[in-house]
Amino acid sequence: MEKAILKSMEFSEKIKYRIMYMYSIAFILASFLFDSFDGIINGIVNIVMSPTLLLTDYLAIGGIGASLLNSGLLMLFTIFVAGRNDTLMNGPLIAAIFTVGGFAFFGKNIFNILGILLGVYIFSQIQKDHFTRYIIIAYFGTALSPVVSQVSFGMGFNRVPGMLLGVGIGILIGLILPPLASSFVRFHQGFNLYNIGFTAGVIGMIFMSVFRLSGYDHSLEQILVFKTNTYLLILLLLYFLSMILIGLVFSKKRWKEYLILMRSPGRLVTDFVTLHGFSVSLLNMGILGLLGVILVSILKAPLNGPIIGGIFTLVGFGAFGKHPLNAMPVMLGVIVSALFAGISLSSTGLMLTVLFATTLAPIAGHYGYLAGILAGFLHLSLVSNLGHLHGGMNLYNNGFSGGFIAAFLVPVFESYKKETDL
Amino acid sequence: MKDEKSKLLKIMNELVRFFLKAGNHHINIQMDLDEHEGVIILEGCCTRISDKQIHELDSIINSPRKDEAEEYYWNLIGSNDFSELHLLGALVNDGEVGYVGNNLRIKVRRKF
Repeated sequence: MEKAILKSMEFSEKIKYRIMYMYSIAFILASFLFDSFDGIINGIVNIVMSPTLLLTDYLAIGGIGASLLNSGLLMLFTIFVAGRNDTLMNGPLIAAIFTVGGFAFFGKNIFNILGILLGVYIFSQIQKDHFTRYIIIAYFGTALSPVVSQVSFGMGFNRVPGMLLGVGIGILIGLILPPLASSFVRFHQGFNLYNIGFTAGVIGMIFMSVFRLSGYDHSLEQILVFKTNTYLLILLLLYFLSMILIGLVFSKKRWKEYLILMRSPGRLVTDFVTLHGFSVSLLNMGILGLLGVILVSILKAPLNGPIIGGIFTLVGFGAFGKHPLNAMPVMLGVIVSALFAGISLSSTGLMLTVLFATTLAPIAGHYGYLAGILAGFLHLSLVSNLGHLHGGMNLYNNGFSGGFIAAFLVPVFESYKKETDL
Repeated sequence: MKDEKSKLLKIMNELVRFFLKAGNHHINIQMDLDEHEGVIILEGCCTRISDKQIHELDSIINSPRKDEAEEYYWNLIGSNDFSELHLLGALVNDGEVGYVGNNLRIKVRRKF
């Protein structure tokens, strides 16, 4: 049997699903170690009723227990829906599930993702197509969940009509996302891993423009926790160490395969699960998670909701394009840029950019370390200028910025290459 | 079905890119469509590619089709300066790679 097929089938789909279920259920169970049942329910209500604009830290408004439960439930739900639709547990799906789980600490919740998912589902039915073909777009598309929450709870409508209008707008977003996501991927030629971030940035910008034209405006939020909870830190370390352990045991210490993975540029569409196997991908995901936690600790940033979201996204894309060798140059570029501009390395904003700038990891992977550092440097400059355009309603603001940086750099790099890479 | 012809066109472009990159500059293309499937056959000469390359390409085009990546990423294939052979593998059902005399022949099939 062929090599690529063998690697993707090293684990049966059933086992891959079980492992993913295990990681979602771990968060659900852990939530009760941090808070009482009543405390968690109150926290979930606070999370759901929040407008959730960037940056709304669910640890601050709902507590650790409720945030963990929210994250675990969203991952459980997305895995369940994917399973019901016979979707293969490959790199794109794993990236999407962990991205949803990560943003469930600052922006996505069990209420505001539903409208967008439903909208994409209706789109698939209109196209007389299977939902599986659109499931990745649907999951990543929940980047625009704050639009639903903002309309529901932040614009002064009465509760029920506001919620109905919010869900309706979520459905509308879901109906326009698939063609736009598919089209915009050409803009950055696959060098921006958070493609939906770019798409959602454009959609959010248009929605915000209409809101402003109608006389409504809002400012960006900064609701954050500034202190690291040691037990939460330990939980995350165990979480990522378990990935490394499972990866090592089941890959039978195939370090050679991992070295091959780390030679990959990581440009879209690089599915590590198909190319190198589920266990080696899990090993890479765990190592990236550990790298994220260590970096946060070294730079003395607080381990709050947005930063956990950044680490989880890094972990998810460990199955779909990112590895330490293509991620670190971009991270370094952001840090150099911050030192140059005199920005505090321990601030949440900077740490978020360090983590999410790895959307441009394929630039380092394809054009080399210096190109990656330059991409990170430029990314920090641009990303802080874009939040106003969409009024903080696009959670993947770094993906929005990454699209522009990739579209700016790639043609320049290509034109100065000695030979064309057909 | 709406974008099927566009997808086949892009798959064909990706295969033409593969031939050109391999140094085969004389290429014949055949495309057959019916309501159930599209088949593309490319035949060209005159540079021989290695058995390893043939094996890898055969492995890619016969790997399972990946519906979950299709609608999100299909626009990347055959449309820019970069090779997207793995995406090609995700979009086709099966295929054949080999030599007919001195000509490299690649056949891929995509069911609608």
